[in-house]
Amino acid sequence: MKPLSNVLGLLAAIGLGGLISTASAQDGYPDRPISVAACYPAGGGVDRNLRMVERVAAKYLGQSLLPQYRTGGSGTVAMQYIKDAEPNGYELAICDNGGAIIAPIAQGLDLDADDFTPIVQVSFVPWIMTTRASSPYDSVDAFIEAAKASESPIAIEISDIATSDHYGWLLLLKEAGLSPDKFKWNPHGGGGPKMRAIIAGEGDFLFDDAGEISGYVDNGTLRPLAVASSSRLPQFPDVPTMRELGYDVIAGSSVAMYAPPGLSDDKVEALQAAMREIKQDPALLKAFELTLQDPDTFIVDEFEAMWRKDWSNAAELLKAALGG
Amino acid sequence: MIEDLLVAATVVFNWQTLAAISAGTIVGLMIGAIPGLSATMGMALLSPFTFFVGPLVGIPFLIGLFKGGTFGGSISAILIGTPGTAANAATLLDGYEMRKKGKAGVAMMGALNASLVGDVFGTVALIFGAPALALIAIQFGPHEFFALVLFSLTMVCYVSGRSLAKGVMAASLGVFFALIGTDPIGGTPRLSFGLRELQGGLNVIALVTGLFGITEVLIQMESYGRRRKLATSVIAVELAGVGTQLRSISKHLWTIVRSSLVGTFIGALPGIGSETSPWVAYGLAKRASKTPERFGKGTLAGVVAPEAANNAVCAAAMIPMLVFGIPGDIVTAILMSALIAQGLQPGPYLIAEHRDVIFGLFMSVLFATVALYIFGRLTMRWWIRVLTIPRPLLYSVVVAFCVVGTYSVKSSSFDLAVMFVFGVIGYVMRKLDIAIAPLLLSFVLAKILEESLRRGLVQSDGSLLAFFERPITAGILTLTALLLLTFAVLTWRRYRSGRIERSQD
Repeated sequence: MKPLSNVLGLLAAIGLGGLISTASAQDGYPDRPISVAACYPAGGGVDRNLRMVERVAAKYLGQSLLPQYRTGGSGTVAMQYIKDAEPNGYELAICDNGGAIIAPIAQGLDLDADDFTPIVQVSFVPWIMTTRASSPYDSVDAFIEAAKASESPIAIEISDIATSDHYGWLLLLKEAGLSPDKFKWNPHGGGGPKMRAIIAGEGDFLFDDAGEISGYVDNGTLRPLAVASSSRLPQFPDVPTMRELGYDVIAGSSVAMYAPPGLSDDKVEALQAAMREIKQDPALLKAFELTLQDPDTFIVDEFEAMWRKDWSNAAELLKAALGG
Repeated sequence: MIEDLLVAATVVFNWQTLAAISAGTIVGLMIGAIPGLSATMGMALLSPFTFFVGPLVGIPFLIGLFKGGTFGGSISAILIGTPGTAANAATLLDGYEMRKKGKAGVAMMGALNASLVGDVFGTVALIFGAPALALIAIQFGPHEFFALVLFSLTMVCYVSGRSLAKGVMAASLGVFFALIGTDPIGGTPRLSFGLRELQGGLNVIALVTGLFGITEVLIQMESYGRRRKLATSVIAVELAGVGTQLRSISKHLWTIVRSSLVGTFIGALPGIGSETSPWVAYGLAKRASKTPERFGKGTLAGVVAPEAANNAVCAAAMIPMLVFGIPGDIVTAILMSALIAQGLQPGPYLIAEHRDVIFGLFMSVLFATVALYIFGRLTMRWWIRVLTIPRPLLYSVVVAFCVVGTYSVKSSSFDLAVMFVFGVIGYVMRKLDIAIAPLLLSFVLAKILEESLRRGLVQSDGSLLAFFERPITAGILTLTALLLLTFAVLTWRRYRSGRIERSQD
């Protein structure tokens, strides 16, 4: 008889488990924490923006955001994940234009604008070409000249293959008339690990944003060479734009949040309503100021149109950058 | 540093965190005291529930549980000669003998006092060691991470079972299961058989609850009918008075301190921890003793040595987990997945960017030490009674927790299926005497192992030589090779002398 009572106990326990978990069925959305898949590892711009939103989100959403790291594949692992996730409003992804648009195209993945529900662009930051302060290169021209003269390839640290910083480099090299094959591209898997390699002295060159480099510029570790935006940045008034130097390069990282395709309109609206309020939150604005981001690039309503336009232009842009 | 700790103390000193630590400690003591329920299993079962509270409530709860469980295991080791957890196996040698002599109370209080000292050593090492190590962690690129993970896996393969070959087998299985999901470099799905649920990879919580919860229940169900009823005569135990305790501490002070140091050191190495250090401490205590012949016959030194060592491991094992994101054992692997679920990715960035949370954790480890002493002392009598709970009732509750916990993470019934499948896999492995720990640990570490190897190779143009040109990497790899060689020689010698089983058994 003993084994029978063991089995009965087991069944009772499973029944109990089922009862408890179905009892928590939802009424108002959201009624439990929303997990957000970050497409790059801890450290770096995507992680930073996620943190900034996450810190204030609970106040407006009524539930907290739970950052999860689904890294790899130049950011496409998180995007693939969210494309296939249940559109229940409890799964979101955060990634930049590199992982969301450029890498899927470069990798030939079967993705396009309709495979996601765009929610919000949290920020757009222009790239700043940066080198270690101890390196002999003090200008973009010095770097270009050295690359032209050099026999062996010059190493460049990038987040990953076909990420938005890699893309920025390709645009610059095209403008300078240099082949990407003359360089050694070191992919690190994300902005955090990329910066680590620079700080540890393993590499010399990177594209990163003002928020990531400013601390290291202040303490004399890094030296900014040029900004890939249309005008100089207020926090680095002495750093020229690439256009001023004769290279027509505008490039940066657009960090945005996405939901799975088919998320119901009322849930999209609930999320976007919260985002509109988050945009006005004093704590978020303070965080934008500290990380040298422009609060005007926090865009809710026009983001979907921007997202579609970026996708329709992307293939062409990428081809142009690769020179093919 | 000190300032950080003081700030953290004010953060942690609120009723939720203190209640979480206390509750964790009490649950841990109970789980530890029940033979068959280990601290590891308790953490596996309860960690999903911590995802829904803040990091400084959920994680302190788990830390309390870890410490309570590690000590709690000594109660059943001493009283009924069955260690509550593998970490207390060494304790029973002398602890059970002491009980036979009617000195169970002295043994239990000695174990508690030794645990306290071990705890303090481990915690101090954690608080000062982790931030210091984080400073050099900036030098750790993909090559270094690859070497470090390889080192940990080599260690865990050897120490967690009786056979190196079986350990390697289990670890390889873990790597295989970790490959299911999405290629971390190319971003394409692999081994997912077109199933959407598999593209995100297997859920680590489902794996842990299956391997440690369901497996144990299956084992217990099978052996229930055959096992003799627990002796209920153990309930009358006289605990030692303060005077006796102080005398026994001062008599064994050096043994306790040495064992604490051993536990701290072994705990801080990635790959080995609570199951190894008590044996090492016991062996050292015996060797250093003037009366080694009394070991195994009921000497208090044989109780305090392993207990100080296994509790010192608790905090020290968090060092490699927090600094490098490389858990040293299953318990820290579970702690790490709980941290990640809270959005806190262990690694060099965690200490730099979430200093508040990290020092909050340090403070909760300290508070857990105090809580363990207080609750360990106050509730010791209850756990003696816990030993008499009917098994069917107990394991039904365990299954309920497994199911609810796993389901609550993602509300996915697929995860439940994964959990039961791994429950069966774990059962088969236990039957074949293959250790489960290497499987789970290599599952957790495989992503770092693969990604660091492949990125390292990309950075060095496919040349393996780069792994030996970097000093830290070369050092760790050489150490790993030497360890493997040593293990191989030891196994060969044992084989030659006809003693296949390890001397500890």
